[in-house]
Amino acid sequence: MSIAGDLIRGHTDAVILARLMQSDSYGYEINKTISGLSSGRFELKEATLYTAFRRLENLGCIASYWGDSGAGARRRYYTITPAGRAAFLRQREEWQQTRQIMDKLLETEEDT
Amino acid sequence: MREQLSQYVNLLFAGEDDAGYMKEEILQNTLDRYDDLLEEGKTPEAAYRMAIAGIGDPGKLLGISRIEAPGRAPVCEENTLEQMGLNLTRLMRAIAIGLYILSPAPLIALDTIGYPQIGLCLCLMLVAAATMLILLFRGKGRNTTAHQTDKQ
Repeated sequence: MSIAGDLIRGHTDAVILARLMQSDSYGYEINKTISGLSSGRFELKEATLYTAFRRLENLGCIASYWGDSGAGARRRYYTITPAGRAAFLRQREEWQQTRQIMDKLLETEEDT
Repeated sequence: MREQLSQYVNLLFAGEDDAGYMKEEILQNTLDRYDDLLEEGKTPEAAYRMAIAGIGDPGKLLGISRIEAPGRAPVCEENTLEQMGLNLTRLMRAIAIGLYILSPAPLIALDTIGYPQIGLCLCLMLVAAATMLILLFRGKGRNTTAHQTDKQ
């Protein structure tokens, strides 16, 4: 898991942007979805999540606003910008190419 | 336990001046996680521990609020202190050298008006002061240099 975890952490920004492509969301909800999608095998720490939000916001990929939800708790919601959508599509394309190359590189004769 | 979580997060950012929004966001996420863990049937103690573990490395977050705030350069205190130590050592060395050069001045000046003994005393005192400055700050300067070499 630790190697897979490191690999995924290298794509933290894309993973977060993918969530925001679906809908606006806040930190814990995003993390919970990530945890659920990976069947509990991958989850981001608050510190990692927060630094990624600030980085993406500085890059103009996301924007944030404060919203109230339910029991009076104030939450910081994030929304993806057009630049963020473009960045996400580019990163997903890059990942698909990387995956194809890796699949080829790790292929052995026994597989064919 | 919610109150304790709040205190914990407050303590994490106690040294940060502009941590307001960052603290609020991280505390809210941590409380959400805590509530969820309780709902899953964890004991309050276990949920508290897991919620805190979920924060991860707070060192990553320190200084971020400063970067966020425009017009304030991030400060690396360790380097500044080191730099101050180094500058102080240089300053003291310069003063000491100055004192060595000036030390014969009272001797010459007081000799011309007939007090060579007092002039000699003052001269020796200046030499002693300069030597003391160099000895006192030599150790410190060497440490600082060694420390910087380690980092490279």
